[in-house]
Amino acid sequence: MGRQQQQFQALGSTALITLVTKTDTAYRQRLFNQITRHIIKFEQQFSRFLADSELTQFNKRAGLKVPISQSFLRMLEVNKALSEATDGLYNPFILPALQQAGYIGSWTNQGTNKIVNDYRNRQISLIDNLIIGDSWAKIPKNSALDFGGIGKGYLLDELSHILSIKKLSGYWLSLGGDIICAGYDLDNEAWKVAIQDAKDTSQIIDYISNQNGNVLAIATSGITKRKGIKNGQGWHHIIDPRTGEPATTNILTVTVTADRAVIADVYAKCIVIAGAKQADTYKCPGVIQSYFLQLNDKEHTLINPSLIP
Amino acid sequence: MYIFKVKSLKHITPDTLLLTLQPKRQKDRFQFFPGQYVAIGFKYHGRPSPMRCFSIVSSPNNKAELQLAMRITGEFTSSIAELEEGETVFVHGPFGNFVIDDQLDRNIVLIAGGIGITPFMSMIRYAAEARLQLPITLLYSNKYQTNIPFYKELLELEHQSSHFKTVFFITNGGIDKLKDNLSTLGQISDDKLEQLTNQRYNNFTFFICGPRGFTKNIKTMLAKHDTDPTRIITEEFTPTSQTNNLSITPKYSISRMTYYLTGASLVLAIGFIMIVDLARAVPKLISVESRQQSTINQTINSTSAQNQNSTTIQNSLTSNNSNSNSSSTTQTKNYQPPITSVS
Repeated sequence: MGRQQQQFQALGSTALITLVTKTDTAYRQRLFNQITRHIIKFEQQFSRFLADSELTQFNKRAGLKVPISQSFLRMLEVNKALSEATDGLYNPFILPALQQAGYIGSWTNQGTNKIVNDYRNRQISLIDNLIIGDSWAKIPKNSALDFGGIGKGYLLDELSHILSIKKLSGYWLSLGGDIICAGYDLDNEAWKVAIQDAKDTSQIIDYISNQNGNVLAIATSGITKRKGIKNGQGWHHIIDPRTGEPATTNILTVTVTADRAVIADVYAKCIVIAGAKQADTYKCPGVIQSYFLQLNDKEHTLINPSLIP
Repeated sequence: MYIFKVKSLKHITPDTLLLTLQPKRQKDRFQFFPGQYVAIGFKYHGRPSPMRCFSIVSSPNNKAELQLAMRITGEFTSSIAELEEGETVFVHGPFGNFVIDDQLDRNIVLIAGGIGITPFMSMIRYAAEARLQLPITLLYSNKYQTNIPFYKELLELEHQSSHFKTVFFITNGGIDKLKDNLSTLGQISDDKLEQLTNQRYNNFTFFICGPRGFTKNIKTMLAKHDTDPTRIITEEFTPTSQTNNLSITPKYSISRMTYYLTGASLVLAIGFIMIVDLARAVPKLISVESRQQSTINQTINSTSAQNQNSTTIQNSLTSNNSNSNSSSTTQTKNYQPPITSVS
């Protein structure tokens, strides 16, 4: 039995891959390579920071019926479905507002590097205006899409699917703090995922343990990271699509667990935007399993304590 | 599998055959991308022939027929040349990812060696029909000026579209019968590529198709100029793909079969002896290997200690598991436990 870990920079953050197998290191290395290739390919296709990406090319042709790849089409369908399920609280059209707020470049350069495409004069559109055909799609001329809200979760689900058919005893993958895990660690120990303290990120505030070994996705969203100051005003990257401004919220961070990373990712953002009082409305079967709030004004709230060891 | 029938057979050069097939039923019409290939087979002396792969030369817009082109070099292609109009051809596919992605590939250079032109014909025909605003340059190398498949059609296509340019390279003999301004004597050279790209190799996507040596030469030239490997897309013609000898199974005589079985038995016997030897030697090897691994890891660890900002961590240690009698556990040195944080 062996455990191996590999780390590299991708999607503007750190990708961390941990595999536990009964096979040799060569097999694990092949899996690492496969996963790495998949991540790089994903970034090349869906990053809004790359001039060559399919997303950038698609946004450039806003207003036209654009031929798209099948993988791009699937991504659009998931975006649309999640936007509808959250009554528009998740909206992939927030890119103009994100840029207006100050989040222009890739976060690897602290969000302020050279702008790839300036969409600040475009508008947030309603999800109904995303028209998807069998091999094409169209968005309004004055709009632009960004998959930053679900990209990491979506990719984690894809990677988890790849690993699910391999000979693995367990794995966990992290993309910038979003995590998906399944199976067990060495000695059949459950994976135990630490939750960072929002007020002091050097500290751990609690743990989530995946006792049954099923696929468990954990995403944390909040206003403590990817923030800055523009024209003397503070901004953060969680945009409320209803106002087009950074969300006003009493939540510092929320950690959400679900059986799919894309769900955990999206609903974590929705809870931050909707506020602590609304969080319970998303907790239902098929949506999120539990959430863990760290608020501005009081101690954290813990829901579904069975996940904690 | 799709079922087609032979619509026509035409020699477009002395040794190049253009096979035009027609779908037998509506459901035999299939979609493909320009640049893809299919495997075809047919009945030969009443028995199924093996399948061989050929690039599609027709445009996907033309659903009424499927065109394939091939050099007649062996039994299989010679047998195709003998097919008669209306005969059935079985088609598998389409296969391959030798296709243009017009989202990613915006300045395209197609480099063909001889019959390697076939996948490009589909691309060029499609681009012309769809009036794609995609700059495409074809560099097309052939041995003799009298044996250039699709020569006239390529001239016509170039005449029709301002986005398509072609240059013919002839390696043997003269070029006096070809259009002057489009023809060059000699091979596709480094200078020509430099001239075409203005030394900005990474602004182009290069599709190369031809014999193995040809493809390798072009790739070497491009690599010399640090061309991004993702911008070099190749398709090689191998003996088992584009052309091959025709063999109808079962074909082996008893004596040949006996010969093969004897050979296989010998290989198995030698393999068995080797495995037995290996099983005896493995315990010794493991102990040596673990000592060597320990030394390697010490080196890796000292390197990572000197370079703590390195973004790649792939240090693995092999150590004996104290709780286990025989198994070993591989763990990552400096293992980072999972922490969820704002993404």
